[in-house]
Amino acid sequence: MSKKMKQSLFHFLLWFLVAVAFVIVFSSKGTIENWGDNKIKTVVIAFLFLVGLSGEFILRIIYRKKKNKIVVDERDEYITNKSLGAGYVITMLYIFILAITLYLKYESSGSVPVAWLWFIAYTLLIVANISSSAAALLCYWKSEK
Amino acid sequence: MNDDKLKLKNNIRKMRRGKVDITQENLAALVGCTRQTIFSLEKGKYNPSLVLAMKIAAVLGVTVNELFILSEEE
Repeated sequence: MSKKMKQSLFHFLLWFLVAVAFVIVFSSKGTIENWGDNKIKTVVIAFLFLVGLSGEFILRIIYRKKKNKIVVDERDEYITNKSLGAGYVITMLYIFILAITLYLKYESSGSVPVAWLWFIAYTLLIVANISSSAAALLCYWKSEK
Repeated sequence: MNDDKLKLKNNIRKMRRGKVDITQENLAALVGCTRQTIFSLEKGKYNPSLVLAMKIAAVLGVTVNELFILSEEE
């Protein structure tokens, strides 16, 4: 397993855990209806993202380029570019499907609860991170098996 | 020639274990890439850049044409 593959694996696990915790917090009772009054949940979600982003920062420090040691080569750059492209397409598809679903669900009422906009904003970041690292892992697995 | 059916094959493993006789790790260190990249190249799972191909050819003491063969996929 190359160092970049390990980094992708940790990145995937980190954001997967953030995603699970986010879904648990978001799907708890009354979150959508009383979004503005749920200050504690807002702080918990912000903390989850702080964990995700700081974890990513730490991973970047651990797997940074080192003098006289090859950590990243042209194949890693090729896989990174490919996985970012795949992540972009998956994220766009996710946003499109979610927006259409919300439209269909709230078409009759005429307005969408603001909690869903926060949901879109937060999950955009989660989906982008998970999809790109999953695509990278798939590429590494295919080229190293 | 139909480009869709062309595949880049290589003799890296054969040349590496032949006259030079070095490990994947040593070759990787000499050309400036990771051992996993050399493994992927030998398995035909990754096509190298021209720069990397020329570096490998130089280390193995052969030409790029001797190392890489463009052939029709079976």
